[in-house]
Amino acid sequence: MRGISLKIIGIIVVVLVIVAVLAYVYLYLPSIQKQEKKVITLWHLYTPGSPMEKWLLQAIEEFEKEHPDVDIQPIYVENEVFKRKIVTAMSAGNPPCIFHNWGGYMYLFRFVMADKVVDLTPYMNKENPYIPGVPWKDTFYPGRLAQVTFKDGKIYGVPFLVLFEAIFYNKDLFERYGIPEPTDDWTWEDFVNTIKLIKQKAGPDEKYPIALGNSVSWTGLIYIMYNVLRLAGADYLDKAMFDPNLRLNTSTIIKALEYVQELVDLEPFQPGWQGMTDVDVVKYMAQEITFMEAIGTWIVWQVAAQNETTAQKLMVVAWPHFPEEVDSNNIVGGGDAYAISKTCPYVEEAVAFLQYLTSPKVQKRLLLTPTIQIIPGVKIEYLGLSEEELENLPPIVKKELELVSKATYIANYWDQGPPPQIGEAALEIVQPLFAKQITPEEAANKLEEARIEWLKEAGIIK
Amino acid sequence: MELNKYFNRKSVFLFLVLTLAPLIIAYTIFRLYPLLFIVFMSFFKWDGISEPRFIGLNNYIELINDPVFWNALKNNVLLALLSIMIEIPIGLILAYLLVIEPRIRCKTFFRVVYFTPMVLPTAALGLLWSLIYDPTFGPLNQFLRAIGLGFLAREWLADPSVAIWAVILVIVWQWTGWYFVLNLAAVSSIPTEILEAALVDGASKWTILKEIVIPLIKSPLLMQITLASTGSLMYFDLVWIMTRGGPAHATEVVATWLYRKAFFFNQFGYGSCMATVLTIITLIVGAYWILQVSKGASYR
Repeated sequence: MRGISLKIIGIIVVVLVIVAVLAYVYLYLPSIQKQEKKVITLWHLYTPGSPMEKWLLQAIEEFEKEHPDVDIQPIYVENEVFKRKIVTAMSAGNPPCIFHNWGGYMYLFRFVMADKVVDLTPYMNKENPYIPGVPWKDTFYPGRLAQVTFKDGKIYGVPFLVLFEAIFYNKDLFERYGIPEPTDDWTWEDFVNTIKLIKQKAGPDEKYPIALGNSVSWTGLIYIMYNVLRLAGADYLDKAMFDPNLRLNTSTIIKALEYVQELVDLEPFQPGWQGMTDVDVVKYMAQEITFMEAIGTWIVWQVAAQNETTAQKLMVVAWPHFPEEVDSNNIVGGGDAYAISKTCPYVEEAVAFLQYLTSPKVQKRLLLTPTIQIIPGVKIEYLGLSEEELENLPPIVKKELELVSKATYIANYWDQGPPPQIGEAALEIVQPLFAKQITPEEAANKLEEARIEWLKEAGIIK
Repeated sequence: MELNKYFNRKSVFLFLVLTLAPLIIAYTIFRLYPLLFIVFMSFFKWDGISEPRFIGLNNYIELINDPVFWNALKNNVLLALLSIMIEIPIGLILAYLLVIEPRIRCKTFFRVVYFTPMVLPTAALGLLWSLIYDPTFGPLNQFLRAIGLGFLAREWLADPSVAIWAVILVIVWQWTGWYFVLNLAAVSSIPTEILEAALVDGASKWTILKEIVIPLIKSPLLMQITLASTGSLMYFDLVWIMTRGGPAHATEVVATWLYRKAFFFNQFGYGSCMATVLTIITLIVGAYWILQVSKGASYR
């Protein structure tokens, strides 16, 4: 150490640290590295190894073969984590090129209002090269396209599939216990009686009428949404979001919430329902412990992942009807779509991929793959299905197609479609309503307060 | 001294500054700046995407009127009290027995067993206990039914009256090992002659613990109380993994509520307000106990 002062040692240490940091930045940050291919990141929600992921990866592989200069990098993000992550990424200015969304004001339209999403209208007005002769936008169901069309009339998302929520049930369990299967014209009273019959006949075998994982709240929200939309009208909330003369605490809406509490009083759910997520309860359907579940069409492949035999026994039925209802044929469905962020350096290539994703060849696989069996985003008439293929569709898929085609309106999920204030209030009332900690009137008032807050923020009222 | 030739005060100071500079810079960037940013944002309404809007003290007024926040804070206080009243005493007793009891063999084995819950990943612990607590498939209810105590079976994580205790049990189980290790170090630092002399004089092990050990390790104990109380106020992970604060906010703690408000409902301003208030409460509690520590006696 003779001759070398501490000052010099200190300077050497600091210099070494700076060099190490610079070396890391140069060597490992991808934006600094030279890229040979056009990299397009895509955030999706499909569990690794799941049939939907395989569907997506196959489409990517095929597209990349046709476009060797494009490298699409799919990144799986779990559903609930995705909702947090996409906001953070958008806010930080480094979102993925293509991202999943559900349309509506909770995410997509807020990103649109912050000028972070590519306007796809020019592309939508032209034809999809894989479906010539018709504008790309006309290949989608109008109700689905509406969920990704902002109030300025511009289209910001590509609705590549149709997922909706309804009541799914195990046909085999109904038959085994001699309980009449639900039918599309069943009433709320029929629903209640079915629950009572299941409890009576299958209760001793420790089977339960309905699977519900309510810790995530949006599952319980399905009951609220459908009841309100049946009684008040399918587009009631969509109108009430902008019309100061409509209210969310009317006697009709309160009545809809009363029906929910009457259902809870029957104790139809499996034990522990308040503490479970939707994923936790898949096993109850897969192991045939529960007869029914109010959930989305994705339940088929979720159950299939655990028990393919049980998945084949599932069937779907329309939401029960009320004597006083004003709307009988609506469905609640998410605006599942892909959108392109403005920071994407390769918008044309991203659009080209989404056009390929919505080509008949790729869309047909959604319908015809036994472990998926969901409604494609593109209308059936554009898929080029043969009579035989249509005839051989599984019964549940035919039923889903029927419900979608009969639907007079597709209402978006309340935690996605409406603005955040209303979405939050909707989620917040679910657990207390089901736990009977608040009355239906109190729950409706909370919705109305949230609506007023939104109207003020939007400048519609003062 | 010859060393003074190389270690004059100015050189030492410069050396310290230069070598600590990266740490200080990192601390400022990753700790101090975010903290100040959160305090700043607590006066704004911001959804994370659009432009923040200044709203003054509105977030704080909303917080005062937020019943979920007060319930969550109550749960944090409950957790802190139970940590102090259960985790630390059990950790101390286990450590004390391991030191003083000659009949206990395989002391290393016990050290590993008691500390193991602490080293397991929290996510794994949360999932494990969620499975244990499952009302239909979980081994806990199945065991209770098998031994004729089926009437005790519960929807452990779904029943609002039981869920908070079910979660706290897991937290206490996890963290007792930590206080065991801290107390083991503290008790082991007491000169053995003192303990042996007390034993020779006929003092019981309980008397030795009460009259000799505890007074001598007062400072470490107070530090543990500091850690337990501040840690409990900021607790998040196990609660989130097991119940997400449900059912119906029964297990909500401040950290899970502010996380939900900020990242689920995109109310970053309100979340920042809650984080600011939580930070202030934690600082006050921490400062109080640290003051007690500085007044604490040592056997030296």
